[in-house]
Amino acid sequence: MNSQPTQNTEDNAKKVVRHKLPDRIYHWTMALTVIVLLVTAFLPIAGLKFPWVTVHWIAGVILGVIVFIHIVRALIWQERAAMNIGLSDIKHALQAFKWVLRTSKQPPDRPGKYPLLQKLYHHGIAVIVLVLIGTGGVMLAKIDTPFWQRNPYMLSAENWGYIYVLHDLASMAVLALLMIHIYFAIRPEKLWITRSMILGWITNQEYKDNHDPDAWVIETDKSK
Amino acid sequence: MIEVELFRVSKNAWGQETLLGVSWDLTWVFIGAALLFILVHIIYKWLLAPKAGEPQ
Repeated sequence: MNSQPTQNTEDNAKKVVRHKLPDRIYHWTMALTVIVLLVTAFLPIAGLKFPWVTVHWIAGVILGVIVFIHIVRALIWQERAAMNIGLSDIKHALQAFKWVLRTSKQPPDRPGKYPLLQKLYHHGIAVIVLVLIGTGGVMLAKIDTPFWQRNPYMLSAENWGYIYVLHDLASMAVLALLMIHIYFAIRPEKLWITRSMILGWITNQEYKDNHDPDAWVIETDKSK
Repeated sequence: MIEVELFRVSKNAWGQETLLGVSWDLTWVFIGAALLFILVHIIYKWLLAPKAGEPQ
């Protein structure tokens, strides 16, 4: 879905809130912790030796806390339906498929707040990050911290192996998905979405061009 | 032919293998898959993707 250039200055001046401040703070805190976690995980493997364990586990705990807050906020205060995958998403996907293959002249209908691919990305990375937090949480038993003493015998060697396999695979998957995420974030036709994750808003014209107003009914609050 | 080990293992004093995790070589498989996806998408958008408003 491309943002159409327009002369409608009124629609360009009016702003629609796409991401509220707490959600943007969550997103960028998560981004920072994930980058710190990836750097402290993979640079030592690549041969750059530094004391990475403390930074890694603290960043992991921060990630776990903010993900917990996000889940609570999403379940109680946010519109959960915006992230549900429903029949309309399947319909839009089929329309997009036909349009891409040029078997249909009609572009796909506009989605609600989130198109199917963004929902799939969110759900996919959510599962992977939860696996990382769960396995990382168990791995905290292997290190001494100011709060507890290490207990590496909590699990058998075989079970520790399974925990590490899951943690390793999930971290590699996050690395790959982050690369794809950044690629889409800097594509010229997606910059309006990236801006909305920085400043919070999209223009009314971008809203009209890229979203179905019946599927995403905007709030009257125009605060940024 | 390049062989990629799937797992990291250690051997204990009795020669038994213990699973340590996934081979770090697999990192390059994930990075390669991401780069391939990005490359295919760039080529698709550049050459094949229908442009909004283009005559069919």
